[in-house]
Amino acid sequence: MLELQDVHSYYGTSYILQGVTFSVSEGKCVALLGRNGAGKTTTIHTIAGLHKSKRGSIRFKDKQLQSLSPHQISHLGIGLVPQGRRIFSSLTVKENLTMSARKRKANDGRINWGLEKIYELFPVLKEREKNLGTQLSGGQQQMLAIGRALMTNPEFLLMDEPSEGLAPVIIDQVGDIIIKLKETGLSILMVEQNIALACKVADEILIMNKGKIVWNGTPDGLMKNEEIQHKYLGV
Amino acid sequence: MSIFLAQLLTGLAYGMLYFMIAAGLTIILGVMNVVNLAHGTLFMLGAYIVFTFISDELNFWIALLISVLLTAVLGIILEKLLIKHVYGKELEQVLLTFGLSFIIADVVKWIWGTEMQTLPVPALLDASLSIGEMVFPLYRLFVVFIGCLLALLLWYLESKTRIGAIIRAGVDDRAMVGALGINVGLVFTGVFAFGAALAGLSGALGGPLIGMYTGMDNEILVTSLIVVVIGGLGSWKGSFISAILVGVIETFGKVWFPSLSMLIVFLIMMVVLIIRPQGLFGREVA
Ligand SMILES: Nc1ncnc2c1ncn2[C@@H]1O[C@H](COP(=O)(O)OP(=O)(O)OP(=O)(O)O)[C@@H](O)[C@H]1O
Ligand SMILES: [Mg+2]
Repeated sequence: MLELQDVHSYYGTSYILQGVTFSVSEGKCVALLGRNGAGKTTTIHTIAGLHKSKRGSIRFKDKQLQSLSPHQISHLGIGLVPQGRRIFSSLTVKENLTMSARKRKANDGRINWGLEKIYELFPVLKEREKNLGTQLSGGQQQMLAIGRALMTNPEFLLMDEPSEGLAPVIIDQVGDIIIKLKETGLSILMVEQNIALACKVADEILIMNKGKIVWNGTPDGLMKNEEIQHKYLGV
Repeated sequence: MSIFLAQLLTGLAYGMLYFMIAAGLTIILGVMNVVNLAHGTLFMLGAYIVFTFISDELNFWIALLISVLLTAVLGIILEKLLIKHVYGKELEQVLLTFGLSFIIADVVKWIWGTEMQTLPVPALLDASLSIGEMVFPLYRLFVVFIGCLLALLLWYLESKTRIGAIIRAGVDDRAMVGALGINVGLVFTGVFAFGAALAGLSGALGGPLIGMYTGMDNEILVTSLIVVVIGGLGSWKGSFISAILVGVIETFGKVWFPSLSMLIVFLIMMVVLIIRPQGLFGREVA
């Protein structure tokens, strides 16, 4: 469904993505792991169009993404749950959800996400719908960021460190939500530092180091491979 | 007493006029971080367009509508052709919009000459309202009314509509708004056109109050910049308060200290900036 082929990305003269190649097939959840500064967020931003790649191809379904702008990429069906949540601070919870709302284009029998459905999934957001987004706790903000992306009815979700800065109980909840979303047929590329969460929800694990994918395999494979864990994830 | 009230109304009318001009300037500044130094010339253009169509025997109101539409269209053209290339580049913005103001001002001179002109007060409002011994020119009351209506409209658009939420979100985090599927470029074009149309509208409404003369564009620009600074950069609510303040103080200043009225306005700006560097309603700078 999503395929990166030898993608190279720079910030000014610093060479960040040094030939990234991987793919995510439909209905799957792939987790991208790696140390701080490995280039995970850059990968997510390059797919979402927030950062332009210099070379390589990014294909989503039958479309090339690399020359499209972020709003066009979003309209192809890619939703973004960014690192640090990036909740709009001058908008209420409800406005954060409705400002970008879009109906599902394809009539494929999947859930058509709207305000009601989001509130069903995250009842706490309904309770706090009149609050400003930034008055929520970290976990609630993460749910809001997920809800906001779902409101655009994506077929593919990019999630950048959804567990960052959250308490262990909340991380478990986030994991359950991701599994639920997968069951609705959503394909997911998730960046994580929390190996346990990644292994719980993902079908496949990728490890990135210095802008390259250096390992890929199953969650079980990673759990058994202490050398890789030690070398690239600092465990 | 009655003279005082009449002065107050005059001050309010000027204040509302300043508000309408400053609103366009401050919204463009707040949303896209552009100080549009051509805003004053768009105001002047608005007045001259009405002047032209009235001379063609058209009704004031139709001429006003044409003026608003033409300045909006000009806004779209300017944004799409020029302004959009200088987002985030402050020096380029200043040079570009300052240059544009010269060009537009020269075109105005070339078309309409340098003589002073006035716009007639529209017939419907060419009357006065007397309450006891006080006499209020109807047109000034009307300008105050339109200014309040505009404030109400802006409040509604900003806080009750989806486009308002999108624009506020864009001020918070523009890239994220794009990643959620909203064409930020289109929103910017729309906001710039809206701001330009507000300049055109205030020019049309201001014509009967202040007339048209060479250099008016710069005077208006300076005054509205002061209003924007006192109110807090990017805050139209702040501009509403500060425009009334500036309009009233300037009017009374002209009566009591004729040679110092502009100086008083500058002094107020200084005092406000010393006490609240971000202006009355400005966002606190962290
Ligand atoms: N806007 C930027 N300008 C310049 N360099 C940047 C920018 N953003 C990131 N970098 C650099 O690019 C490299 C990769 O950053 P990236 O954010 O992709 O890492 P990451 O894997 O997401 O790390 P983390 O786990 O800390 O989020 C880092 O060395 C970082 O310093
Ligand atoms: Mg990151």
